[in-house]
Amino acid sequence: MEKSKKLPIFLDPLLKANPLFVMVLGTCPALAVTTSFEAAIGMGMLFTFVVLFSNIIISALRKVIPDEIRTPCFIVVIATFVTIVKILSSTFLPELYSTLGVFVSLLVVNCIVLGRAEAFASQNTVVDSILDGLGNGVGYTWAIGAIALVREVLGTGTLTFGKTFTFIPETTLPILAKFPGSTFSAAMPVFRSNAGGFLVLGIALAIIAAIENEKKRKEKEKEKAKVAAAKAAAAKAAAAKAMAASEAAAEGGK
Amino acid sequence: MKNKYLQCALVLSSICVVSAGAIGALNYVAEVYKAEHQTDEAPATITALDKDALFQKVKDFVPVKTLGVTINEVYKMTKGNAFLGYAYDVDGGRPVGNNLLFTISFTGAITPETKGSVKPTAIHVVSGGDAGYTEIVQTYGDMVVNGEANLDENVKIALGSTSKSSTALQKAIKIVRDEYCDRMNGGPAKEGAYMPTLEDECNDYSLPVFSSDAVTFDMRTGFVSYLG
Repeated sequence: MEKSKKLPIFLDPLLKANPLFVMVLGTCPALAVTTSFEAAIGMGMLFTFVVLFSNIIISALRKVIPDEIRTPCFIVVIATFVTIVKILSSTFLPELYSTLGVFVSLLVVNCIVLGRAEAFASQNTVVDSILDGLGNGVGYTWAIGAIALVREVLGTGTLTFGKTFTFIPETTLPILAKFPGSTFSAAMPVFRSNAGGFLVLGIALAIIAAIENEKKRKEKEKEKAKVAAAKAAAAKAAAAKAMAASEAAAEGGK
Repeated sequence: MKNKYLQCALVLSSICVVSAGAIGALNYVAEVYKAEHQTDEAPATITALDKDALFQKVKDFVPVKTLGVTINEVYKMTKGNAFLGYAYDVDGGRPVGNNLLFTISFTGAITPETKGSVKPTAIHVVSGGDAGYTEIVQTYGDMVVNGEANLDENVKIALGSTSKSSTALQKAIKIVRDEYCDRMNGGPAKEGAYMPTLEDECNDYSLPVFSSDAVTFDMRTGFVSYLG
């Protein structure tokens, strides 16, 4: 019973309540760092670290922090983890740090991180906050990863690994190969520009909205069918009751 | 705690102190790690300029930005024990969508006569300034190296509409060439430097001659002649 209550805390942010695709939060870094798949995955990793550990600390201190100063406290905790992430990435992954640039520092004011601290971690247990932080981190990572995958493949025609994560060998996979004997490439550089980012995110949001609407329509139809079935059953029961009453009256007449 | 103000101050200051301590400790560990693992080994983008040469980072070089072009790093090139020249890691600014990134090497001595016509020995374009531009800008770089393109002529390449990136490369090459000439003529690195003689200076006709009614000062020779 307890397990079934905890699992949705982790699973919901992956699809049902995805911070980017459903709640449309954190769109600024989602547009800025999604020109490369590797950079987007790196950003997702750093984001997951910050949201997970700030959730843990805020949840652990929720009974100590007075309500009046909760927002400054949350910001100090989040800023601490963003600084830690900055130090770690500039030391161990300098290419990732230089690729993401100012967007690492801007995690401090990311509305998802502050939102989870305020709406969830400050009101729930540490275990629940860990699940929520992990769910939101993974949900955001796959969402920006998917956008980056589309943008990099359509924008450059290739998928490159090893440029940001230098510990893996540099590999370039030609997805949209050049036409034989021609310098014309099927790649569309517009997808690497800011306009391309808006385009891909807009299409993704439209697809998700269409799926949601279809789900709602089906649910409404189910509801209608249920009501109709209940009405039919009630009418049937009333008819049976009337028939029984008339049969009883006829028998009494005899 | 009864006093709410005191409680707020205590909690917030405690969080700040713990945060500052954690950041300070981590920063110290990171600095130690960086110092231990810092390597002078040249990256692949530099070694790609000459597979047989040995590249040694010039440690006292401070990155400089001139007209939007930044020279990030300088490497001394040697083969065996012989000094060859210098290799540069350059950020050529943002001609189109992204930054133009390339590495370039110059070798050989410089004289005041050859200063303006020194050609790079190799160029390796890391990023051409926008998606799909790298190959085309590399082609222009190869043309400069092979002497098929002159750095003073307009950049027109029929391969694609990348004249902005190629023009940026042309400008950046000139800036790096000037740095190389300065370096070879008594700049920060003296190894193998060509030190100009007085005779060379005399042949540098770019130096001015000042004169007035009473006196003429020739900077080429250092001679001062009095009139009348």
